[in-house]
Amino acid sequence: MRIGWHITRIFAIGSLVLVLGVARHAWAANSTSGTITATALTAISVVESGTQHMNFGMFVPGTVVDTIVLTPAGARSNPGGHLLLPGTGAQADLFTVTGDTNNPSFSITLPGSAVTLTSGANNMTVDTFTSTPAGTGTLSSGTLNVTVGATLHVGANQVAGSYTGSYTFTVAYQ
Amino acid sequence: MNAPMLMRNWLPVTAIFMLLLAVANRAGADSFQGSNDTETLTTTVLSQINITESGTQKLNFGMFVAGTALNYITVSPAGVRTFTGGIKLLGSGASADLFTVTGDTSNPSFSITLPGSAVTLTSGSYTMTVDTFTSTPSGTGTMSSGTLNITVGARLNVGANQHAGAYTGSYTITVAYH
Repeated sequence: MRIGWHITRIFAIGSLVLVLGVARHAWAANSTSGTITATALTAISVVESGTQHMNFGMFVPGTVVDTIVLTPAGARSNPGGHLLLPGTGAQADLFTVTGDTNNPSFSITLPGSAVTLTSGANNMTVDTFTSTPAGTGTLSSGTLNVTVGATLHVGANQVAGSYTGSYTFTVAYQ
Repeated sequence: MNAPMLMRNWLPVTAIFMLLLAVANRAGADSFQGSNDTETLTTTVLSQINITESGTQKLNFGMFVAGTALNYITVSPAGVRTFTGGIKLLGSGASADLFTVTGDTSNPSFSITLPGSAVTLTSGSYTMTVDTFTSTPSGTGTMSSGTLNITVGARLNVGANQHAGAYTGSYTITVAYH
């Protein structure tokens, strides 16, 4: 009787331990794979067109100060009405921005103050720079053209000459 | 039939009963009483622990422009992205990895094991490495209603002028009952 009980008990415990051992082995741990992505972008750059620069064209000054407004589309106007604007050479500045084909957006920074054009000892100023697009742009297939216009301030009886100057155009990923 | 003979005949029956009872206990906590009145065995067989990655939220360092020196982008388990040096971060697509652990409703604690060494991301023939994996919770988790979410962040090593491209890689996360 006692021997039978002990054998039964030992066998029962052995069975249970066996089952538990298998269960712990199969169920106690689990692994999976995590996915990582990272996207490195091509740096942004900008170059001015080799042929299309900002040009206010030819004009005849008046006897009072006046302005010539050049839009980013290249249209020229004389809001004061005191100038003559002969010829067709006026044009906006053309820049090509190049960057990543993920087509991130970027900021466009134009001069915040006037720049000076000179012709010998004479000068005029240009300010109120505007661009298309304005403020921010978004690349398309990794590139985008930006055109820039501005306002030229012409003095009374401005001395004749060919006036030149330059300004800084900056783009940066946002 | 005497008593010892009777017990011998019961041996296989008892064994089968014990097996069935142990298997039945898989779904939850239960107790088992041994065949001897003076000794009681109590044990709990837990539901299997499982871990799966979210189908939509993976570890993503997002878009960036490399600097001119080796620098780092870190995504925290909360998904916050930070950087060092001349790296420019772009966009808002960065995220921590999201895993769901499921197991027993008795809410046992479990260990979380992340890679101890760097893993490599590739984009064609270009590579970057990811190391310093961190998680929330960290090291150990405790289930609630038999489940728990784990988020994982890490640190991306961005080389000087790292070549542009979409880099991908993978790593292993392991959970185990204590």
